Amino acid sequence: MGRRVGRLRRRLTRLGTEGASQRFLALPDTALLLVAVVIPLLFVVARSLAQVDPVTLEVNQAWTWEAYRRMLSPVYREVLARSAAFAAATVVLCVAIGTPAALAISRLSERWRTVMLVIVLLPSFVNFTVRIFAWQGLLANGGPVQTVFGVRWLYQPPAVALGMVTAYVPLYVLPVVAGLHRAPPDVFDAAADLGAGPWRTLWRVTLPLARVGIATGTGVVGVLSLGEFVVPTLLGGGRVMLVGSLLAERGAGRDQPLAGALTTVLLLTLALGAALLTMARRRVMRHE
Amino acid sequence: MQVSRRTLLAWAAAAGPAAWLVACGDDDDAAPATTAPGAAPTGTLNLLNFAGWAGPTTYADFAAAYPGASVNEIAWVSNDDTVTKARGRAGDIDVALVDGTTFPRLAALGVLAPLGNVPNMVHVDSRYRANDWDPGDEFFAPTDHGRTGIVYRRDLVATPPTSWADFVSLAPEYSGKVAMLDYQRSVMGNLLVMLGHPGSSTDAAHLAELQDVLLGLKPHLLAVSGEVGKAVATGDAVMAMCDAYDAQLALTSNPDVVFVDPSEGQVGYLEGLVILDGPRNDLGRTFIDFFLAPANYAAFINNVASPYVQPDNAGIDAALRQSPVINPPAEVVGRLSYHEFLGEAQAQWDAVWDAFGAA
Repeated sequence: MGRRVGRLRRRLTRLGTEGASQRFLALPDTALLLVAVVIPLLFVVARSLAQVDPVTLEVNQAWTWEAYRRMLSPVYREVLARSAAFAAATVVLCVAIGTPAALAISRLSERWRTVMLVIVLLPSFVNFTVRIFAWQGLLANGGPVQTVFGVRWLYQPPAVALGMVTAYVPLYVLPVVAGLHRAPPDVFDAAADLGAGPWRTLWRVTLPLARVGIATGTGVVGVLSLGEFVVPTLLGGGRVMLVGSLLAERGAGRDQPLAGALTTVLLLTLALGAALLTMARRRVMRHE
Repeated sequence: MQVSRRTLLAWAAAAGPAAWLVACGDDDDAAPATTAPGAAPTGTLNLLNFAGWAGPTTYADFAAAYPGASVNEIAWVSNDDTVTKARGRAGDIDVALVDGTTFPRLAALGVLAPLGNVPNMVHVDSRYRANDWDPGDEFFAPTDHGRTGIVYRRDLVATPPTSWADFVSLAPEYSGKVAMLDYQRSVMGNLLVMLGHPGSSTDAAHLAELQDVLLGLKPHLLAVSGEVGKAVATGDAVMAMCDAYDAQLALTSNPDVVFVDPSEGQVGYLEGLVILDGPRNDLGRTFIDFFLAPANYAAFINNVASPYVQPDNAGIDAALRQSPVINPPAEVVGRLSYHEFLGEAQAQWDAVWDAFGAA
C-alpha cells in the first residue's frame, strides 16, 4: 500500500514537473500573442468606445456606444452588407476554382506536386499592389485582354473577381493540398478495392479528408477579402465603399471609433463563425 | 477621460515590450541637429512629403551643399495621419508638406515653429503668400498648388463641356464612361461651386442639395479613383473630374485629351512646407530655403509637373510654363478658391461622402 502511494506520488510529481515545463515552454508564444494580438485588440475595442476630436485627433476615452449606433445607420449597414457579400463571392469563387486544382495537385507525384505548388505560389513573390497594377494594365482599354478576347473588363465586376481570385486562390489551395497530403494514400486504394468509382471516392473519401483544409482555406480567404480594398479600388474603380476602404481612408484618423466598432463587430462575427464551424466539425467527427 | 501621450506610455509600460515599441518614437531619443553659432546645421531631417515630391536630386544636392546634413523622406499618408504624427512629435517629423486644411489643425495643436529667416521666400509670388491661415507668412512656405477641372476626349465627346453644369448634364449621355476624382474635398467643393455655394460650405441645406447631385451622378460613373486622367487617356472613360497635375500627364500621353477650367470657378489647394517645432528647427529652415532656391525649385517642378508658385522662375521647362494647365491664366486663378478648414463640420461632409460611397 505504502509502495503504491509512493509510486503515485512520484508519478504526480513527474506530471506536475512536465506540466510546469510545458507551461514554461509556452511562455514566449503566450507573451507574443499577448503583445501582438490581445493588447492591440483591447486598444481597438477601447477606441471603439472613445471619441476623437476631429481637429486635433485627441482621443477622449468617453466609453460611449456612439460609434456602434453610427455603424448601424443605413449607410454603414449597406457598406457592411456589401462587404460581406463581396467576401462571400470571393470565397465561393476560390472554392470553385481552388478545390479541383488542389485535388489535382494532391494526386501528383511528389516531384510534380512541388513543381505545381511553386507555380501556384510564384505570383505571390511579386508585391500584391504591383500585381494588381499589372492587371490594371492588362485589362485597360486597348490592353492585351481586350485585344485578344474583345472584352473590356477594367472597372467592371469581372475585373474585381479576377483580381480577387488570382490574389487569394493560392492561399486557398495550399491548406487543401496540405490536408490531402497528410491523408494515408492507402484509403484511395481501399476505396477502389471496395468498388467505389471515381465520383463516389471523391464524395465519400477525398472531400471528407480535405474538409479541414477547405475550412482553413475558406477562413483565410474570407477574412482577408472582407478587409480588402486595393483590388476593388484599382480594378473596380472604387465606385462603392467597402469596409476595407473606409478603414484604410479614415480608420487611423478622425473615424477611429467607427473603425474600431467595425473591426470589433467583424472580429466577433468571424470568431462566432469559427466557433460554429469547429463545433460542427467536432459533431461530425463524433458521429463518424 | 483624455488619453494623453503620458497615459499611453504608462499603459504600454504595463504591457512590457510594447513600451519599448512606443518609446521608440519619443523625442528624447531623437538626435538633435548640431549648430555652432553661424554654422550650417547638420543632422538628418525627417521630411513628411508625398513620395518623390521633390527634384530628382534635391535630397542628394542638399546633403552635398550642407556636409553632415541629410534628408529622410517619410511618405505622406493622409491629412489625418499628418496630424497624428505631428501631435507631440509622435512621428519625429521635422518638416511637413501641408495644405490650408491641415495647417489650422497643426496650429491648434501648437506644434508649428516659426519659419524665421527664409531668404528664398521672396521668389514666391504674392498671390500665394499671406494666406488666410497664415496671413503673416510666419509658418507656411508655399511650394505648389493645384485645382480640379474637367478632362475629356475631344474625339469621343460630341459636345465639349465648359462648366461643371455641363459635366453633370452630360453624364447620362456618357453613362458608364464618366470618372471622378476620389478626393472628397475636391469633388464636393466643385459641385458646391456649381450650385452657386462656397466651395467649403457647411450649410446643411447646401450639403443636402449637393448630396442629391452626387446621388444623381453615381449611376453614371465608371470609377471614383485617384487615376482618372489615365482612364480618360486610355479611353476607358471619356470625361472626368480631374486634378490639374493628373490632367497634364493625360494630355502628354494622348493629344486628344483636353483640360477645361469650368466657367463657374473651381476649388483647389495650396501646399507648403512647415516646421514642426523640435530639435532640428534650424535644419528644417535651411532645407526649406534650399528647396525654394530658384534652381532647386525649378528641378522640383520640372520633375513633378505641378502648378507652381514661382511664376518668374526661368529654370522651369518652357513646356510647363506654356501649359495653361500648369501655369493657369490670371482669370482662372482669380476664380479659384482654396479648400478651407471645416472643423467640426467635417463630420457633415463625411456623412454626405459616405452616402455617395454607399449608394
